Amino acid sequence: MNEPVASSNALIDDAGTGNRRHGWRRWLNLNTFGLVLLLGVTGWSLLRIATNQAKLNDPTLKYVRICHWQLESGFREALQEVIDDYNTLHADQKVKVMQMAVTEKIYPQWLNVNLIAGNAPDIAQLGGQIKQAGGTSDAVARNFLPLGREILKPNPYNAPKYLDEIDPLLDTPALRQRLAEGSWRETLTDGMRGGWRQDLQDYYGISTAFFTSRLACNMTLLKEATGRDEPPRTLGEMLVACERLRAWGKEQGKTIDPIASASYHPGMFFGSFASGFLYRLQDRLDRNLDGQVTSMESWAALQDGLVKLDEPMIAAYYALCLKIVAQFNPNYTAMDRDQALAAFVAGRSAFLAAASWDAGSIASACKNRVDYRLMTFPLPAADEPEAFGELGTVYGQSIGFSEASGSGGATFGITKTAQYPDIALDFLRFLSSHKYNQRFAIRNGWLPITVGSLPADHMRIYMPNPYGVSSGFNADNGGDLEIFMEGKRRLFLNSEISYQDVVDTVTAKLNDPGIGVDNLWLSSYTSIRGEERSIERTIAVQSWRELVGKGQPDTPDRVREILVDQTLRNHGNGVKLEFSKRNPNRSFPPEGK
Amino acid sequence: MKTLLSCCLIVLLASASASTADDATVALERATTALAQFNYDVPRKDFTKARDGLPPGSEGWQQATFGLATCKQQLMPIEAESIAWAVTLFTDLVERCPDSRFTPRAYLNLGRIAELRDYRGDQPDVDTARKHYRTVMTRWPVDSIAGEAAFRLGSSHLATMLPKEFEIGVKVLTDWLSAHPQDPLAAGMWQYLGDCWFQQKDNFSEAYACYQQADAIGLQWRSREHLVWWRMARIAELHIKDNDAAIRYYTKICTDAQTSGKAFEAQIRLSLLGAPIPDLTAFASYTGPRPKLPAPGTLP
Amino acid sequence: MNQPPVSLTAGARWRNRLFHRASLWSILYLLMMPTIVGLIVFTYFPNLETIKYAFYKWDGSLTEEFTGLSNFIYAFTKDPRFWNGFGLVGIFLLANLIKMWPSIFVAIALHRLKNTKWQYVYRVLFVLPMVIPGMVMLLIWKAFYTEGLLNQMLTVTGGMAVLRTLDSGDYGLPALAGFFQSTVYAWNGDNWLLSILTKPVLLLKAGFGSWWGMALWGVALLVCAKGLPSLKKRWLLACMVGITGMFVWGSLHFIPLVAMAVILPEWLMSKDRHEAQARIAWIAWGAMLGAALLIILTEVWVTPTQAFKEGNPPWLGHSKLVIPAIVFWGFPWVGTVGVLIYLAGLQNISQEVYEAADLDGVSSLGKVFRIELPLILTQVRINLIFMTIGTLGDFGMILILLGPSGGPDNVGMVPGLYMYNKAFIQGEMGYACTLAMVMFLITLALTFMYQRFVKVEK
Repeated sequence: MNEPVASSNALIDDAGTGNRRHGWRRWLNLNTFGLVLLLGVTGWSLLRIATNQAKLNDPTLKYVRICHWQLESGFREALQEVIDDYNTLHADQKVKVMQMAVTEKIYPQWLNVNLIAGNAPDIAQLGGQIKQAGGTSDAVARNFLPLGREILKPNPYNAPKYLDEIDPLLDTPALRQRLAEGSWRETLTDGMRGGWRQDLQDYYGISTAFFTSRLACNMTLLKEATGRDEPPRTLGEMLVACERLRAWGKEQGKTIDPIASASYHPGMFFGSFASGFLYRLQDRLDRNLDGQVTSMESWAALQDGLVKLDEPMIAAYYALCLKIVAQFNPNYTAMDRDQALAAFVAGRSAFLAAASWDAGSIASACKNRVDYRLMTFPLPAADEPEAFGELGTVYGQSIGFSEASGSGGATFGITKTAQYPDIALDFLRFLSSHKYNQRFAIRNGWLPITVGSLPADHMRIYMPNPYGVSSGFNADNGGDLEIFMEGKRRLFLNSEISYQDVVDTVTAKLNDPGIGVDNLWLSSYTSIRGEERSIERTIAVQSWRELVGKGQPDTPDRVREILVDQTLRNHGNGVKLEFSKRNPNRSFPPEGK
Repeated sequence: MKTLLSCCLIVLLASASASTADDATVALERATTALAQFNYDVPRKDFTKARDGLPPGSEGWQQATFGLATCKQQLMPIEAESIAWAVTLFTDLVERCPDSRFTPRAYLNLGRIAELRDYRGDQPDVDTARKHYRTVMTRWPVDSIAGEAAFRLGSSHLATMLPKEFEIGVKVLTDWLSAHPQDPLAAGMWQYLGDCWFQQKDNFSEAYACYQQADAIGLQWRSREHLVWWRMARIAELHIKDNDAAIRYYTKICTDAQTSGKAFEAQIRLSLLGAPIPDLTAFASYTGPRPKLPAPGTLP
Repeated sequence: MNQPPVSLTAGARWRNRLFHRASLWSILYLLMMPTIVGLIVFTYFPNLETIKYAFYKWDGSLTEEFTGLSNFIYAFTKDPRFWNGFGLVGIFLLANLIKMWPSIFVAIALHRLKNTKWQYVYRVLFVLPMVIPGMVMLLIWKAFYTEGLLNQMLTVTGGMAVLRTLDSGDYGLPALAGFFQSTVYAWNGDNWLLSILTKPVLLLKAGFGSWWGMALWGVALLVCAKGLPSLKKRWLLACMVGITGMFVWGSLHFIPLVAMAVILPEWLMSKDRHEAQARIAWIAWGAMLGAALLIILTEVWVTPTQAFKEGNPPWLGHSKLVIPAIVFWGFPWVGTVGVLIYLAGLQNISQEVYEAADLDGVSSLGKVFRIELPLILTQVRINLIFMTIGTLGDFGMILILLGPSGGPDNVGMVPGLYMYNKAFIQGEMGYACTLAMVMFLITLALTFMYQRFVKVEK
């Protein structure tokens, strides 16, 4: 009997019917289709990568990639325009800069992977939240090039031939001289603070934008409710308008919260007039005469009675805060920015704190719906009942805080894996030069970072105001004590307790063994010691680089500067000395955990 | 399955054997680059391999020993055992190769290990630290590292905040500065002395004089110069009653530190003192209202 | 030609068996390897790092110093703020325990529907909300509280007037609490009638130390009687309750109470078991309900909030309203996943059981507690465990609604939020890891208790 020959052709038995396909038909099934699809897509993807890689490896062209996570509209277009200008200018050198926008959510991981793989873009946006790109000093030092002495040299793109777009009102010889001959650092509004790494004692990035906050005023609602054609000029006028708004809302049967508020808005309001009330405490609290009143100085002053929470200036400040908060939605602590904006646009609120990075989205939300105007945060005038007379002023006039000490944003650094670091540096100079940074800012609707630049017309109100003073009292960063005080402060701002209750309860906790000021002394001491020890690691690596020839020409100078910074900390013993001066009969708190 | 397992085994063995074939020099180069990139953990093995593979006392051996000791000293978390290892390695280096280019830095590092509290329970030994700093100062008196050692020595006294140590520390630094006014660390030393006079002795005139010296050379405290200038101006105004000096430093803040956030406050002070007020050119773009400056002599 | 069988030694047979098994299992493990490796790297490894850093002083980047047990010693002896948060967690646990039941009852109602078409329709309706992402639900409820929708609804339905009345200092709950405290707690022995009424209350307060303690004891007694016939298990539960009581309320009263929780059932159940269980249940329920009433009278609404006067109370802004608002969140608390899980369990109950119950004359409600609930207790227990773990560790919603300080007067400072503060606000990552470890151990202990004491009777 002939046995059926097992053949490799007879592979498919259609659903057990006994029918078997032969020849090429045996490949007609879903598995084959899936395999073809998979191979096809993989092949196409590989081809694309190879093509892109070949483009990047084109020896006739020098590609420089810049990556960022700013996906909001305006930024990418603005950056592309600057890139196009740069590419045109350097066409003869066959330089091509290209941008890569990566979504913020995956940016850290994406950048991390590329840095490890050694093919990260030449220029990458830095951010404090990103471990590899600014979160820790080791990561920054490992992955990004220090800008060292470059920032002390003039920016060649601020040479006179490029200074043809200075606004006539600002065009002065002093400005031109500053731009053309001053160091690159001094041509930026923030003095390149945005790229400065304290722990590494060097600049690792260049900021390309500056940020401030202003107040948006819904003129449509304001006019309807109060009859005002102009925004209020002072804080007193604003509070009066708010009361009128509430009353009008009641008459109309509408719920009106005069100031649209999200959880972080109160700080923006309070910060605007805090300096006026608290500046004069500086002379009393600034014991080390460095012009800054730190939170340790403030809490220590409270502990040894140098200042009291119920003294007139502080009490007056908090009373004014209460009046402001009374105009918020009572649930403001739980509200977010979108809710606040929605209330403003829907005509339920007349005022909205607006940061400059948000200006574009506010403008598009209000377009054709709300007539609004931007104004600076109003300050209490000296002759207004709301201003508590002289308490809220400095030298007889209301002065806000200085916006000059802010740091720039949208900061970019040069990665260590950059194929053309010189070109990358050159591009950053280009991007932060007067002419091109101004164009960049006008296009993306943000504030420029360069000195003497102007943004788009509607953004001019946001230009930083340096004519302000710093606060003389700073109760932030107080650990558990600050959390406790914040809880009581919230109760006070909710009108659940009086200010005297806040004073009494917080004062009672100042010497609490669990959360009192002694814990802050101790944590200040241990943190300075910790900083000193971590700076030791930086010195070790920098001196190693110097010894083995892997440093830059200015590495020895950098070692010295870091050494000076470290030595000034004195193992934290300055904290102990200050404690003993203030508390001669007590010993320094012992270390616990 | 057996084939698959065999393949995996072969790959593992191959990679292991491949690593044993590395040259000590290659390992040293790799570790050197890694440490220069703030990597303290990864290069330890390579430094050990290089140290074992290179002739003791050779240049490469010195580099490997120093590198390994640095890794031991700096790798977090710092433990007593690793610090002890670092001490052993640095000591071995300085004893075997007293003229090595790594030796001065090794002495300094030994001094730092002794001086700093590296881990919980570590007891600083400032006497040993000072001994090492003095070794560097005497054996390499003309190298820039001697200045660093002098700075460390002086600060080892001054950081104790004890009155009798204060005198010694000040003498160390002032003697060094007198003999080496061009030392690269001179500005930092003067600034440090100024801080010490100010903090520990409340001696404002001495502090001011030291700060002045530092400022004349050029402060080595980048991006925070305005803090020092502000202090100098306040000391001059409040304590030594030298208004001209105060005006000088307030003006400096207005011209050289406009972006510090203290420029307008400096303008206020200048106005109170009746001095000319420089413009804040860095903020020429701001066209909003400006507060009036107070008249001279107005009380705040 | 057939080969004669080869006889193998025991060793050879064992090796053959092992090799055969290994070759089979090695394929399985090899296929699972990617998942296992991923789990180890991305789930277990970070958690192992947490354990490691619990013994360190670590600020997240620069400073890393081994400190041994000092973090734990500090947490247990010098950090009352961490333990204070567990009181709030206890409230949330209790609320979530109650919030589990609507899902169960809905599942039972769905299961009882005779018409399969309508059962399908209702099932779809209950599942539909699943398509709404959790973040959207959060935003909807946030708008409900913050935009005044809830207030409008209460005003229209008359609920606001009721709340205003309850909040009144003259005739509301605060008034009742004031009367109770001024008469009972301030009793001075003048009136013999009043002394008969108030003395037991004072004795109970002295005995338990806290009304919460009395409630906890009642729960323990009920479980001891109903669920734990074994004497050893009853002692175990009673000791746990006792330690909790002493630890939380610092009261030694729990030592005799612990003994009573064990001895009482033992003594009563030596006679007629069923009758004894009923009596113990009465005592336990009495203790729990009495404690609940006394808690309401003395701790919950003792001062007027003044928040309802204008008719627009700030549910997320007032220190006294925030917690009730968070507890009420998600009303009517019918979770789709829960309903589906319980429904799946109920569908395993065969019809014969119901028919037998009908023959025995069991009422509808009786079927719920005697048939359906016991037979879905496995699912209930699983949900209970997950609910407890979630409640103990969760703080995300509080962080979003109240900020890192926990809101006015830090009312929302649960242990998880405190841990967040320590880690990301104050930079004490090492100590935060320690707190995380402590919370893990507490969660583990509670899970163990559920496993041991929530019996599944088949």
